[in-house]
Amino acid sequence: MSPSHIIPGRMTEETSALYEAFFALEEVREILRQTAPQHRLSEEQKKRLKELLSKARRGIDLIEGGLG
Amino acid sequence: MNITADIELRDREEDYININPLQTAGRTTVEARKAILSYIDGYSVCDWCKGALCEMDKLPVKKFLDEVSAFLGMDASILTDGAREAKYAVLHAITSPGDSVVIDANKHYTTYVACERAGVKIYEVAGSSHPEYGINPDDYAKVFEQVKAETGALPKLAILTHVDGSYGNVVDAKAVGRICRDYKVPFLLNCAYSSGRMPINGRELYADFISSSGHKSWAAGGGNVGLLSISEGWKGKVFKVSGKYKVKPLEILGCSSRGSSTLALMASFPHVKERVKNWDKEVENARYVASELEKIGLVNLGVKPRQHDVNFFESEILYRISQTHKDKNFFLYKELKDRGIIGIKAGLTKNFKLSTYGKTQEQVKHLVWAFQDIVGKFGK
Repeated sequence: MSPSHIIPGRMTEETSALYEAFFALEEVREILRQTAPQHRLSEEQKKRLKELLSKARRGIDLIEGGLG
Repeated sequence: MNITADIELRDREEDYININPLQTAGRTTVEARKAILSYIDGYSVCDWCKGALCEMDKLPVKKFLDEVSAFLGMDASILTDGAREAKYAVLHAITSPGDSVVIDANKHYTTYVACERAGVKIYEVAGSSHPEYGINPDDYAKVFEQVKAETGALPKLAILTHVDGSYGNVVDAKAVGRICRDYKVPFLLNCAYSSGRMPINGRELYADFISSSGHKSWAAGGGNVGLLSISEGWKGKVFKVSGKYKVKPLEILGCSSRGSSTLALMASFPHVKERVKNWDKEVENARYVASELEKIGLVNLGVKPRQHDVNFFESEILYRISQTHKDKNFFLYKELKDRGIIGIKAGLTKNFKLSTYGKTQEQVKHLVWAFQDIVGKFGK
């Protein structure tokens, strides 16, 4: 990583992507909590789950692209 | 799955319905967990510190505390490490060793221990006996008179456990507050099991002090955190600052909760403000569970009708089953766990407590089904 990677006063893309993935997975965790113990998801929850997993994947891809 | 070789990963909230009364209302919100993730490092709260945790503005701690005071109908609030530290702070600030303090029979042990640490003489308001274990507000006046007769002075402080953690009895705090006001005895209301769960207005309850528990009832985690809220006249004594370090309140040794738990408390607050509006629903769920479990032979203790999410049960039938079940007294814990329920202490069958706080309708029904299924299967 070169010094030019650091933009003063701004979070790096990788750190931002890391939290985007973490936060999306926290929302997934909440779905697990709300549906415990059977984890029978409503259609709305299934739709939300898909969106959250895409968001998490996007974050992971960005990290991979930036650091991998 | 383990975190390290000897630390087990905790999945009690994700894979089970957790009914441990100590934990149900301290279960974090998504926002709290995001805040904890980001502020997980030691002293993270101090990034923008100008000298006092409770006065911080870049991280809006001061604004949050002002909002908490308004939410609780009090005039000022500070962060503590928990409700017990809040109680001790008041005791330390306004009493001297040898003074008299009145507490109630259903107190949390930390109320007693805080009094012991402060070196005060403890007088206790007795509770009623089985099955209610209630606290009669008028008994505070009787104990005040007893203190006066025995010591020649009124107590320096009265502490009431608004809701106890065993029976979930909600005491008429306003009646106790009025007696305290009449006798001019300062009144500390311990809201560890009430504020953050149900609506509280300290001004209407004549409370001089309110102690709250973030990790017990305000959906905060990531460590310990609590709140001490006071009415205006007590600022000088209870929030007194150090003579040398002018911004550091003495009773919290300058700064209390200096990590992610403070952020968790702040992040969950918008949710907490909303959830107390649904208190009727929580009480309805608790009553439903109590009534359904009584139908299968359990006895619900405490003052009726139930007013809180914590329910205590006596169960001769589950105890009888434990006498012949292969897992003996651990059978209830294991059978409930097999049905996705956790939180009743392993080994208990005859007496136990549970809480349905924050559970969905489906989870409440599943809980009832689990007990019905166990009694149906083994109770013949």
